[in-house]
Amino acid sequence: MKSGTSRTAAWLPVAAFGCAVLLHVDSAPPWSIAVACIGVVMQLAHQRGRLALPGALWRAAIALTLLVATVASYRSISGLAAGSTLLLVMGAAKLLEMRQARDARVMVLVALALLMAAVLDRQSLPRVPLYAASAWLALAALAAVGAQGSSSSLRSALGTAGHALLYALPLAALCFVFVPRLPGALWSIPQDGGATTGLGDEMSPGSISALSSSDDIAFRVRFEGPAPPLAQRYWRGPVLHDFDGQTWRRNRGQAVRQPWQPESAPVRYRILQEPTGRNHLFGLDTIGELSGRRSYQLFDGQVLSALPVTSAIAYEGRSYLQVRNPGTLSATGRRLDTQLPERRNPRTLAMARSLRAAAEDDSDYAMRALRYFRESGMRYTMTPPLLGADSIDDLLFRTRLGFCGHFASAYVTMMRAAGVPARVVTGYLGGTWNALGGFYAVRQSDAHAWAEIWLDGRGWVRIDPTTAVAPARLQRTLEDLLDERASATDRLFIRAPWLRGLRDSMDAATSWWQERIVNYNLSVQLSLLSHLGIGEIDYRKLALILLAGVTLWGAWVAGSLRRTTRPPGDPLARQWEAYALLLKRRGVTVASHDAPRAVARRAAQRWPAASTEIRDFSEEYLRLRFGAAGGTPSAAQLRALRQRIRALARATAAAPRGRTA
Amino acid sequence: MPRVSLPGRARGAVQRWALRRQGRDQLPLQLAPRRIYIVPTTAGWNFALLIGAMFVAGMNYGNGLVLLLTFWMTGFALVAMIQTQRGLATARITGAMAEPAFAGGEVHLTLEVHCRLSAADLVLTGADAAPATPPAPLVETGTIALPLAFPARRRGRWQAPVLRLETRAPFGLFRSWAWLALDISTLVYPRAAGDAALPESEDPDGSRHRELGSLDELAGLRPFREGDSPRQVAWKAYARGSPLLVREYHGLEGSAHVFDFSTLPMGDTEARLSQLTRWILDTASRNLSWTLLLPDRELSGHGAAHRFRCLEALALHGAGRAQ
Repeated sequence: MKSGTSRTAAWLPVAAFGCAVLLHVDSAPPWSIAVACIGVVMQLAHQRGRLALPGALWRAAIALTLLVATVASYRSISGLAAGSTLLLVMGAAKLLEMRQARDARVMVLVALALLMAAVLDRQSLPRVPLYAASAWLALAALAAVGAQGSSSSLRSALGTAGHALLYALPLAALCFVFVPRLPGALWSIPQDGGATTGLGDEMSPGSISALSSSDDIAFRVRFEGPAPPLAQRYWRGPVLHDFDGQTWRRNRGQAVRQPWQPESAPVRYRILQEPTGRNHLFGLDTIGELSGRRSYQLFDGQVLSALPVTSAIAYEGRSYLQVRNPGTLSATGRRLDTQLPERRNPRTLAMARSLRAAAEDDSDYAMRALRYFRESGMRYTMTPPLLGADSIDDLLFRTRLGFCGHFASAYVTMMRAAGVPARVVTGYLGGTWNALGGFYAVRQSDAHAWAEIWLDGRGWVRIDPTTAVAPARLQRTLEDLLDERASATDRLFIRAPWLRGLRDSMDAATSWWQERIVNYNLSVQLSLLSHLGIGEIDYRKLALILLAGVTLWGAWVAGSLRRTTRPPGDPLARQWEAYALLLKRRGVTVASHDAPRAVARRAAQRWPAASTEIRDFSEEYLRLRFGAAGGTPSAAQLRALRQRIRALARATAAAPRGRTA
Repeated sequence: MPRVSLPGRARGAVQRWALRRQGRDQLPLQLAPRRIYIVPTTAGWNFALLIGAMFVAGMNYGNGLVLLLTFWMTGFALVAMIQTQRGLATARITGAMAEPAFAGGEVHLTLEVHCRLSAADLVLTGADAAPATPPAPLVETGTIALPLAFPARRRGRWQAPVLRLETRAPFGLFRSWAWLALDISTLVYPRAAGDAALPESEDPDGSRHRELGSLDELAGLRPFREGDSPRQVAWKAYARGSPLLVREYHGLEGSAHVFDFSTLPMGDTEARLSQLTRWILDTASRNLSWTLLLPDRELSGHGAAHRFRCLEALALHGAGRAQ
């Protein structure tokens, strides 16, 4: 840095950049983080005079190499991840040539851009303090660079920036609420191949098991009106049709959706879904409609979002607990849901055929099959043994241990073996009530799989073979499942109820945050504005509110700054005035031309008992005013002077008066 | 004012318009908000660009948190703007002074400002001025002295150009300034030059002192001042390590040198004035009496006041009578 700039102005921008780098530690490629950290360390070492920075040619070569490396690893620089990485490494390259105030300001801007990229990427509540701290540090660096005179220490730079940020908060809130939101995106969002979580498009034994141990929230549900009982809260996700003997997959083909009619009143609710990186949306079975996001419903009732869910989203749902499919199943649909892998599971097929022969009709057969699950000694476990090539045979006749995925898979196989159309439905079951937030939290550990079979005259009917094996899965409390499938965190939460309360309140805060802040879109804005009595969205009205608000805010800021930025008076003069006022109250007038020692003599004549205190103050004042302090005493010295005045006040109040009394 | 990026002519027009608007200034001067101008700096424009990008991204992605950050940063920038403007609006100019100088030297101007900002946050500029070393801080808290040095090109009355008081504090995102049309004037004396011998002094009765200095009584030493003749410097003392000191003499009452403009050998007026200046400085530093004869007036006497009157007369020679 140029000579004359303070050390704070030199290292604070580097620290701000370093803090912004930290925000990307868990998302950016490790090599770019390493490069950024090396840049920070080199610049800091350079500032301490321990390291000479590379020359111009080297710097150009380094910058070019980093650029090429970034482009090579992403094949583009347009995506969010690629852009963040580019910012990281180019910021590091800039650190090698940070000399002037202008370079320091560039570092601050890079830090702010990195902050923006991080906010675009992740918006969870626990990260918010980090984001705020990063912004604060960056702007403090700006203060340190921008005004070397008044903000040369870290403390004053942080104070200056924090002060301005606090003043800015009301404006931020005002604009946040009232600036009209767009109904949709201006351009399509480049997709990063990010990680996906939650239920997938396929299910093989074990996949649900991995999910079940996760305590993460899949989505939150707020019902309009009473919530359906637990046994009815089946949340429909991917419907799986294709079975290769090991794995169930979604069908890529299409069939006609069977006509259906509701036989109960609609249930309305609002879902706040965590990002999954996939297109799946979830709704209470049977889904009538999901609105609030561009989506479409497949023939089998599953709803897919037009765009992958990469951030937390909210949507409304309408569902019916009772529906009926009149008519007959289409030929395509029947073919799709009766196929089985060839030459697999011969024992299961044989048993299914004999069961079917004994049954009166498909419905009776379905009940007999369910009874078989209940009575053949099968047990529910979250850690089932591995199954062989004929997985269903293995499960039904050898291991007899499994969880929802196994049972649904076996049941559907048995149905299909007898020519009854059947499919596996995956999703979630239940959800726990969060009284604080007023919602049901559906967690990944609530993931479930069940079967749907087609019965002529009734249509698709949900059968949950898991309930036949483990009825507790439906009426379960956490304690019931403790032995079977509780994860380590579950056990912890059960043993310590206050921890559960803590978790619930954190969930509620997160829910509020996701719903009201992160997902503050046009529909939320409209409903909030109508609550505020603004009613129909009217751009002129909003513009007027914004204008009035900004004006009021500006007047408030200017007014409070006027009070705080008045030039400071002379602190010593104020002490002298306090002293003169005290003497005046006691009857000794002090004129503005009076010399301190003359005043002291007069006062001492009046209060001989207080003469020590009077002399102490007077001499101390003279020493500070004209002595080595040069008229600018330290805070401690001023405090001491104030104490002398107080001592004087006490002494003169108590002391008997002298000559003139 | 080199930092303004507008083309020179447009800038001049803006300044003329502003000066017409605000008129001439009187001390003490409290800067009214209406005469404080403010524009973003380059860093400020870059900051605005970043906020714009954030806004578009937040709107497009429907990302509430990004928008919240955007609005927060916008509010911050507005606060920064108000703070920068307030920094100047609290400033009170309590004093302005320019010291006389000799032609070819520098006019040192000092502006005394009472405000919350520190001296490093305030930049004072003026047409073709160079920054000067700051004088010692004044005693009163909150008052700062801003120095500025102008080249003293010609002798005569020097009038300060329009000054510009600027600040970028606290964040460097905005540049706020005010034009000050203060009546600050001083004299630029003729350059002290010429090596003609000093005319011998005359007693009122006409007798002359032969040897300069030999009859004068040494009064003591005083610190060197600009314009002192090198012949009077106490070089021996200087060699011993003391600062530059000048010998002072008690002039003999009644005896006076006569410096006559009309009898000087050189033809050029400026050269004659320079020679007279040199003589006056030499003579005054030895505390002698002298008489200055100019075509339109005669000044005789001794001491600092007489020295000043003579230099003033020389500075304003030919420019009408001194006020």
